[in-house]
Amino acid sequence: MSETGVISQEYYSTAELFQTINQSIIILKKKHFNLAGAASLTSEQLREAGDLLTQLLAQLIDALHSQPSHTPIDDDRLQVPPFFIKRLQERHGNEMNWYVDDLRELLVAIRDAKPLNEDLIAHLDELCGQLDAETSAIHRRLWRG
Amino acid sequence: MPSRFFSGQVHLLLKRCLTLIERLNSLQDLPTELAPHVSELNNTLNRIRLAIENLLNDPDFASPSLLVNQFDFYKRLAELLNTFEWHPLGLLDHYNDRDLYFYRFSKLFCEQIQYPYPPPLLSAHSNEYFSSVPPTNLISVPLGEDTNLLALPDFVHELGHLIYHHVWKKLVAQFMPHLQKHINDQKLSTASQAAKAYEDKLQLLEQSWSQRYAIEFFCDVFASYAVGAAYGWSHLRLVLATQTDLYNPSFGDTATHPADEARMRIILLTLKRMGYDGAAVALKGRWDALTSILVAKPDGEYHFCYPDALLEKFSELVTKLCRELDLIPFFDQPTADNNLPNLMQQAWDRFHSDPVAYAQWETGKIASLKSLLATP
Repeated sequence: MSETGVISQEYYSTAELFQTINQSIIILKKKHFNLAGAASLTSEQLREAGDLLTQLLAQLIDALHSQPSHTPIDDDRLQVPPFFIKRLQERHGNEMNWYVDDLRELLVAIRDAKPLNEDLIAHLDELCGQLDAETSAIHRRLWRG
Repeated sequence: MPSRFFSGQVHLLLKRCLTLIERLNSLQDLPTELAPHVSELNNTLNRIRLAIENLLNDPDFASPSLLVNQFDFYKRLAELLNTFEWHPLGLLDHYNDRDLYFYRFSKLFCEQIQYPYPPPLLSAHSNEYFSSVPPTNLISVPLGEDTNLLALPDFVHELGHLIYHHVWKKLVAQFMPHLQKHINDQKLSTASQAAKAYEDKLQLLEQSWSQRYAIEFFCDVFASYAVGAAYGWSHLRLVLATQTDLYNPSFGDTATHPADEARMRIILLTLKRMGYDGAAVALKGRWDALTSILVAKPDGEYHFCYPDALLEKFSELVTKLCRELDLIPFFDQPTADNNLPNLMQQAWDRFHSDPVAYAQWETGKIASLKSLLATP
């Protein structure tokens, strides 16, 4: 009846998506920057992180395309919420075609396990940043009324 | 320098987590029947502790190239800890007899409907009507509700929030194609109108439905499934006490809850779906009569938001899910005195048949209920 039930559920699902994406990006960045922790990453961890991010990118590209396909989604798959699409549209509305091309390049690089460049890493960080901003905003609504 | 500040903050978060674990484990006077909840909370806090320790022990902790990702991860851990500190841990720290009464009430209700998850903790001193925090498995009810019966279906609505927390991915995956079809149909039909403005509003509608309205409609359908028309009457009572615009939010508006008119409509559709047309007709008659005195009317774009077809599909998916979970519908509950779904229906029937004598009848029923719940 109160707003808490809705907002805390909204927070939970957004935070869960953020954690999944952020963790995968940390794994790819450890490898890209050849950090100390890269040595202990397993091929399974790298493959799972890559699969998850390609799944995310494929859904984003489809949704940001002018004619989205609205392919039915399986409940076990990553579900990209509409707010995420809206945030990206607001940030890249004036250059959407270029932005979608960049996301395609990023998807191919991750899918084919090619080295990532700084621009592609910046795109990954931006995706994570947008999810973090939404998650933090929802949490603030929970405790500031 | 940012990394030193960050490192200090993560250490402080660990200290806070350890303090909360210690306090939880020092609570000596809690009823023994809460032991599973204390154990679960202890496990959750220890999972948070472990995640903080893993962050601190990461060989790349506070590395400049990962700082933003690690800082955001730290924020999530801090938010999670806050949520548990403010809600279940705060409750257990000053737990009283009324909390225990509602815990037993809730546990019995869960058993009687075959609720398939661990029953929630109950706080009996809500500061925002009936509410819930699904990630912490907690429901709050107002201070005086241990002396009333007619608002208790709103507790059932809150229990719906906890079920939604377990099933939301499956439900959203099933519902999204229907929602997207509705949005696309509207896009086509409004193509010649002020296209851009409509597109933005349709996008907002899709977002509101999938992230918020679906949650509330789920709880409304579930509560109608579990306690029947009693939930509809309780909703009518609440609307008359609190709401003046039944058609808000409309097209282009932002809100956590869908419009009360649409919520009543999905309750009625659910009762009809379950074969209780008579109950739906009685409820709708009273709703129409009482809401006709309110001045608000739907605006010209309201019909975009909650069409019958979409509400019917949603009600169908939720009732199907309830059956798959083996939840017992209201009409299959025994009529025994200690059956809580039946008691909620009986209370509303009694109120309708004799409103003046109802209060006295309710007082007697509450006394019996308290006697029933006096022991675990």
